[in-house]
Amino acid sequence: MEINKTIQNETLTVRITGRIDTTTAPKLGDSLTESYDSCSELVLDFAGVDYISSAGLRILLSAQKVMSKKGGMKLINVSSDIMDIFEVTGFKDILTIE
Amino acid sequence: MFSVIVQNQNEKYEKQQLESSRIETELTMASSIQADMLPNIYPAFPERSEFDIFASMDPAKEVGGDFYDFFLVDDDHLCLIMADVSGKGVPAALFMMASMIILANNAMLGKSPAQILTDTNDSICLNNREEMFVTVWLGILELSTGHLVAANAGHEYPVIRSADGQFELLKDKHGFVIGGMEGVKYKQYELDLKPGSKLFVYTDGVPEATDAKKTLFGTDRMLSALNQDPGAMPETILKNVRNSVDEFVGEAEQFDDLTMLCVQYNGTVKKDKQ
Repeated sequence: MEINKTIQNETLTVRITGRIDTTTAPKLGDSLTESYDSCSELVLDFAGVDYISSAGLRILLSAQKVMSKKGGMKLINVSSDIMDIFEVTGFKDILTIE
Repeated sequence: MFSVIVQNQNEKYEKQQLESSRIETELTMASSIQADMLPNIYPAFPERSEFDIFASMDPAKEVGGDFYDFFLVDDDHLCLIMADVSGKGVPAALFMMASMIILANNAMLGKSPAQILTDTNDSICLNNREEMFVTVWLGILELSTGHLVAANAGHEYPVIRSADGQFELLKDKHGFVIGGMEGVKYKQYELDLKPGSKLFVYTDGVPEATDAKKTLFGTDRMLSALNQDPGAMPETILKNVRNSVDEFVGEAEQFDDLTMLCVQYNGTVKKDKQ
């Protein structure tokens, strides 16, 4: 999994490529945690994500909780495979997906 | 001086060996405790002719976060649970034990499936700083009529086989995972099982079993395995799926827990002995 961060006007865009599973999720979690203070809005670009496991969903949930107290969080470029996972797990109803 | 260093290293190594064998022993015990929590003596209800049930859990590590449960709430109602905790290993196993007990306690109070999930979610959210969550499918089957009431908290779609038919995915209503957010209200749905109908529930370890080329097993292969012999008894149904997964995965390592439950509704007429 690759993580690519860009920040513009307090909006942090995180581009993720690869699989977010038990082995890679902690790396994403650490990476987001260290950036929370430097941004008010978080955009997760999922164009390159081909799989997310429950460990990855947990990271999204934590991020959502932190960012909801700030400027919010949204996901962009979510593929239909990933959307199916959000649908089944009910995450679709709590995340902002564009 | 050199020999002192070597001696120190040796002592350190022996200590590590001791420590790791202690952890191994503890994990083996934890593994049996976890396995024994799940109902695993078959036939599970030899005195009940209205249904046949079989379930299995194979953790990828010593302990896992998947679980199933089934028990009679009263003389006429069978509660069925399939669940999957986020993550793996010891943290998932601890969370699994708590979830399983809270669910069963709520169910035994005679609540509806939606209410059981709503109340379980609120209890778990009270103390969940690690932000773990669990997906749950829970159904209550009325044995005298075959009427099933079920609710789904972020869990995989159940599979239903109508009498004499094929197994098909049931795209049921999904609520959010349990433990994710306080105050979630779950909804339930109802269906009627005719005698001969079957219900199959599982965790994502089945459709997400992966071969050496990173291809997922998927629900289509799972349905084909179920439909090899859709009229077979639940134990055989589970064996067919397991064999199909094993064949597909081949030499690749089992990465996720693999858990399945199948129940067949026989109706109230005494079943023919097979």
